[in-house]
Amino acid sequence: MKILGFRLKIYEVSFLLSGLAILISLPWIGGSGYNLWIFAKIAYFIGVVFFISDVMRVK
Amino acid sequence: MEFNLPDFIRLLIQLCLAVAGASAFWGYVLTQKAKRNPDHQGEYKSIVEIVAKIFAFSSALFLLFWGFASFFIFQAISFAHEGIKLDPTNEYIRAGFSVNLFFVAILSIIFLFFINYFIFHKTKFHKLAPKFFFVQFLLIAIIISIQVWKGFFDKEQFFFILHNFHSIFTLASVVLIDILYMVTFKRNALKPIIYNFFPWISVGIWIGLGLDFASVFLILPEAFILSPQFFFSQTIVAIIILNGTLLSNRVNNYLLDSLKPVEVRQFKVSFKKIFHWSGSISIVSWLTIYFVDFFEFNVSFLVLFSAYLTFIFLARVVHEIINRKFLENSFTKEILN
Repeated sequence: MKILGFRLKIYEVSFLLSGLAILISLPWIGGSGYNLWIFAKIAYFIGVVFFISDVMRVK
Repeated sequence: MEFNLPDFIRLLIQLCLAVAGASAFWGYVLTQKAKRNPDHQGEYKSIVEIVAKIFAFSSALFLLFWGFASFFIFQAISFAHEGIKLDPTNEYIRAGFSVNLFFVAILSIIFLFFINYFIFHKTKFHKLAPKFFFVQFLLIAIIISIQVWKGFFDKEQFFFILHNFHSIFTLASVVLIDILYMVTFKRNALKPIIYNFFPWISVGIWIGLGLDFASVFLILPEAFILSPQFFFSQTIVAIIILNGTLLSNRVNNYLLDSLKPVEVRQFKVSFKKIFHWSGSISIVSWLTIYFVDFFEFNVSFLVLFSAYLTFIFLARVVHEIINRKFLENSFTKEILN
């Protein structure tokens, strides 16, 4: 996947989304940001699955 | 922040136990990989010995701190204090020490055998290493999981188990990566094996952080308190994830790339700086998360974050000093530059 000229793997996109979603959700965490915070955690777990499959495939 | 000796000792116990657990786990994995790579037995034995030394050092410190805390700070006083109101958390911690006494005693005995073989019977040690590492990892996993013991299993108890257990794969594995990386400064022959092993440790770190996330969901309604500490910890977690994205792929590729001849390398020299900053951010972020977990801070987010940035800068300076000290007149200098 190519984003802003960088070639990124699926797990990298998931982790980036997760990290950014946590940061963005914090100012509104008491309200609507909470759902984004939960999304960040889900994106993280998706990233972990893809990262494991990537390492296993390369090795 | 008030200095609290019991909390400080618990932090040291957690750190030493987690590092011992990580060394035992990755030591076991390395012995299994050694079996599948008979051509590199010598290199694998050297790495296993390094990991065994880290294990021995951290275990010895753990036993020392645990013994001190168990006898002088968290001795079982539930009978003596019957009827006196105690902080429930302290009660759970005391119960944890009490339950763990049996497992720590077994670990101590096995540890003595481990040290005996490691120092006096090296050949036999390498034969027994997988068993030693496996059994010791199991014991450490039990000890670290029930450091806080409620007396029965419920959502809170599972939270404590996951919350403590994941440090074997997160903070301690990050510490192990740092130590193994520094080892390669003077042991060029070990580089290909250690660098190729790093992605597997990264898998452990990502899973470890996932365990922590899972543990949080168990107590979310009760523990969701929007304090400056919460905002600070969440920011650090986000930084760990973003920085880890860089470390897991590009930095690993950079290290493997550095093993190739100069003319076929893909990474630019300038990436080395990013790599060192990324390493400093990683270790300081994990240590910060643990430190914040054990102490209460009555300061603003800005103060906490400024202190965090200062420590990253200090870690970078220390990394640079170590680099320059070890890279002088070394083949590694040529490789990394």
